[in-house]
Parts: sequence; structure tokens; C-alpha cells
Amino acid sequence: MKQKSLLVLQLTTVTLCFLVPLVLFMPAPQSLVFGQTSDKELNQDIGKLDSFLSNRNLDSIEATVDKDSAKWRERDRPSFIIYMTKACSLLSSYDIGDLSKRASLLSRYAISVLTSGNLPLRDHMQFVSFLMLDPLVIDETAWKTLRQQKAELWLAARRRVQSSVDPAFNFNEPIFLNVAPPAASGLPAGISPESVRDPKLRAEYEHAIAENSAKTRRFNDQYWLKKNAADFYQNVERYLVNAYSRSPNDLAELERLLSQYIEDNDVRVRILEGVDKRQLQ
Amino acid sequence: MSVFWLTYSSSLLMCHSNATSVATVSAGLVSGIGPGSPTIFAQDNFFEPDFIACATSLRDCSLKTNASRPGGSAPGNVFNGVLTPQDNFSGRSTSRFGIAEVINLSFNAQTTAAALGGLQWTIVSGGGTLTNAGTAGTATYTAPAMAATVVLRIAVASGSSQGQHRDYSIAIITPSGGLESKFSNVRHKQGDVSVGFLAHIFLEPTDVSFANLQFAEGSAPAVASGYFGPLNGHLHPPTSSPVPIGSCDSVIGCEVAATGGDQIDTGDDPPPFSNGDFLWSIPWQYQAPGGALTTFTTVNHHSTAVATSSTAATATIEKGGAGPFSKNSSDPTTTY
Repeated sequence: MKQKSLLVLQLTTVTLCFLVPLVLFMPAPQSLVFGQTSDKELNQDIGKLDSFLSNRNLDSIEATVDKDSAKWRERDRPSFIIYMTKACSLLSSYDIGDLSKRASLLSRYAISVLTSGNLPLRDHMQFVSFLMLDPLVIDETAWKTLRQQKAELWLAARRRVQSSVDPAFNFNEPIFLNVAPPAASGLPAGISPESVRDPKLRAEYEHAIAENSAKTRRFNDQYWLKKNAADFYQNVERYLVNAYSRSPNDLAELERLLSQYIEDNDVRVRILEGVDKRQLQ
Repeated sequence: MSVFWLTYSSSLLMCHSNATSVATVSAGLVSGIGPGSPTIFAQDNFFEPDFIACATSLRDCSLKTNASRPGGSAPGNVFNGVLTPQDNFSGRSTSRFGIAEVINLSFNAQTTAAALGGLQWTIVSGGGTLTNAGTAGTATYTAPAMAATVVLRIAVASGSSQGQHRDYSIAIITPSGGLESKFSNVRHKQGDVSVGFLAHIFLEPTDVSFANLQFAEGSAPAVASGYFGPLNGHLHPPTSSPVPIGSCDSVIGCEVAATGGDQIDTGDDPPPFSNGDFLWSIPWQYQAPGGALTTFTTVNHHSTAVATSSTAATATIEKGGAGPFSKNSSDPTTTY
């Protein structure tokens, strides 16, 4: 009996001696390696954008962003969005080179993201907010095309924001930072569910935590919209008034777009009156 | 509209001058914003404007220059930057802003931005992001997710005065601490070691807004002994869904928008009683949009049991400066 145990122990030892180095030196899963490399590369590319703050050369920025954005667009969408957020932020925030060229680049990059597929709502609103800057010097035909494209993107985002707002949402519905476990557990509020021994009480507690988390996420979304939607609507109107006050006059196009995207007649009238007023100044 | 007079730091600029005026706010000179004041209006505390932008040409500028006041010109050509925090609560600072705070930028002039050649806001240094930054003199600034000194610039975009500008320096700060404030009754179950309350959490300092951040609690193992000994090492897990920061107040700070509050409660623990101590040192964390959770302070969730016999004890509980609140086991049952 003792010898049999010894044999088992020896076999186990041999097996472990063989397997442990194999596991230790086995390459990490491909996706993990790719993820780490990809993150590092993204950080490097973002670092390159930061370096343009000391070398404010629009041609170099354009060449770099064109190349790197194409790479990230092909590789993975979240990284593409992060990269383009940084690129657009750079062009939108800093006085780099010729204003009209900067505006054209910013518009091109923001439009490329906005037309590349679905975006999370907050990213959608941010990329549209990069469209405010128009080139001061631009060929009239090109301007007319750009203006219509930008106007449609502003208006589509406005419609999305409006449809995301839940007018019946109850902001007084309580959400808790720490949920109390069932009273019968005798445990303090906020303790880990693993500490609840009784499986029935633990399941009850896990359910309460999950419900509170889901309510918190819904609250977060609606609360954010409550804080930001009005300003966003104001910027949509500001853009449309500025853009359509500029030559060439095309109120017919604006009226058509407004009727296509905005149901509220008061808003449509306000925008059209804004353009009229601005043109008289 | 209440006006903040900024410390004067530059002299008159002649037309086409490239000189820079950096305006900083000194607390001693702030005359205050009335409750609900919509705008923080930055202007030099000096009789003459310290920046003159020529309208469209040198000729315009020279025509408007007043000989008795060299460098002066028609009031219509003077512009000032206006910084209006989206969360413009009464009594807040106008020179300090919270990380990730959103500030609406505009201008004040007696003419339009277009007549001045277009006005554009840009970031000179310190980080953050500008969106909605056209040439109409308006923009939306979102402060960086870390402490910084930021210089924002409003400049003439084109025409003969192109490049002339004014700079505004602001400080961006992180949360430095926080506190709990009880808003409920003290809960208790008769016969047990049992005490609890509901509280709201507030972030400090109180003169800036953290309304664009989210709040969470981190993980903490319990250090427990005596009556609470079986709970030693038991975890307070991290908050599963960070909670937004709600309204801010210059007296108590920015409130974490957990509408039901924070439940701070021992639970109901039956006899036999003995002395005991329970402590969670919980990291408090903020998260800027798209950023990682960052711990800015640690608060104690602390409760004790002091037994006078195996069937009689006093339980106390406190957290983040709220309490200690006590209940004797014989006290009648109460709810929040």
C-alpha cells in the first residue's frame, strides 16, 4: 500500500516537472498578447498626436492621422474611436496652422467617424460638436456641399438625443450606493454577497444588487441627458444659424432639412428667424 | 449680471500689437456672483480697455483711435472673454474649476464676432478639450481629468487684427476629500445589536463643480474583533455601477446622486452579546468620462458593540464624519 502511494507520488512529480515548465513558458493566449500590444501601440500613436503641440505642422498632422486612422479603423472600432477623438480634439482645441485648413481637416475627420457606423450616444454628440468650426476660406460649391452634410449630421444627432430622452423617467426612484443584505443575514450593508452563507438569502441579495446596478445605469444615462441635452440643442441651432447666414443663401435647403428632422414647429421657426436676423446684421 | 473684476495685468495694446494679456482672478477682488447668476464675466478692473481689436483694417483702427488716449479706440472694437461654468452654483469660485468640468465660453463686445474678423477660442496650455469652437466667439471647454493650470485664449480669426487675443488663466483641481451627511432616522431592531442610517455623500472642495464625474467606493477587507470577529476579512466589494455627481453647493460640496443615499448599517445581530469592533477603510474614488477610477481619499465605516451583559449592549456606527450614532439593544424598534 505504501509502495503504491510512493509510485503515485513519483508519477505525479514527474508529470508536474514536465507540465509546469510547459505552462510557465507557454505563450500567452493570442488575444491577450494582441490586446496588450494593441493598447501599447494605440498609446504610442496618441503620444505622437501630443507631440504635435510642440511642432504645430498641419501637413505632418494630416499625414500622420490619415495613416494611423486607417490602421485603427481596420483593426478595431473602439480604438479607432479613441484615436479619432484625440485627433479631432487636437485640431478643435489648439491654434495650429492655417485656420481654414485646420477646419477642413477637423471636418473631414469628424465626418469620417460619424459616417463610419454606429457610435455610442456620448461619442456621437462629441464628434458632432467637432463640426462647429467651418473653413473661413472655401470654394462656394464645396462649402454648399459641406454645409448640407454638416447640417444633416447635426440634425440627425439632435433627433437621436431627443429620442433617447425618456420624458417619463422618475429621477426620484431611489438608487443606493450600498445595498443592505436581507435582514435575516445579520450582516452589514455593503458586504460582499459571498459573505452570506444561506444560499437563498445570498441569491436574494445578489438580485437586489443587480437590480440596483441596472437602475443606476439607467439613471446615469437619463441624468447625463438631462444635464447635456439642452446645451446640445442650443449648439445645433447655433451651427445652423451661423452656417445658413453665410453665403450662398439657401433657406429652401434649410427649411427642407428642418422639416425632415425637427417636429417642433417653434424650433424650426426660431432657427429660420435666427438666420434672417443674422443676415440683416 | 454679477461681474468678476480680474486683476489688471497688462497695459493697453496698440492696434496690431501681439502683446499678451493674461488675466487671473484674485479671490480678494472677486465681488461675488448673485444666486443663480448665469454668467461669469471676466473683465479688467481698469478704466481703459486693455485690449483693442481693430475692426477690419488699419484705417478703421486709426480712425477710431482717440488721440488723448493712445491705443484706445471705439468701444465697439473691445472684446472680453466670458467663462460661464455649466454648473454655475451660487458662491462658487470663478478662477478654480473641477476636473472634467464643462465651461461655456463666449465673449462680450459691442459688436458681433464677424465684425471683429471672427473670434475663436483655443487652449494655450494645460490640456482639456474644446468642442463647438467655431469663429463666432463661442465654444465649450471640458477641463482635463487631472489637476492643471490652463490658459484659454480668445483671438481674432481673420482680418487686420488677426491674432490679437486675450488670455485667461484658470486652475483645475481634483476632489480633495468628502463627507457623509445623515438624512434619515437612526434605524434599530429591539433586542439586537443593530444600528443604521442613510446618508448623502458630498465631495470637497466646495467651491468647484465635480458634476461631470462619477463616484464609486473601492474594495476593503473588514478588520473585526470580539463580537464582530466572525466578519474579520470579509470584503466590502467595489461599487458595481459608479454613480454620477449631482448638484453642488458652496457650503457642503458636490452631492453624489445616489438618490436613496448610502446605507450604513450593522444589520441585526442577536445575543449573546460581547464587546466588538468592526472597520472597513473604504477607498473613495472618482472617474472622469472615459477615464479610470482614481482613489482620492479613504473613509472609515466603523461600528462597535459594548456589552453590559450577554443580553444588553450598545451598538454604535459612523462613516465619513457622520456619527457615531448609538442604540441600546433594549431601545424600541425604529426605521430609517
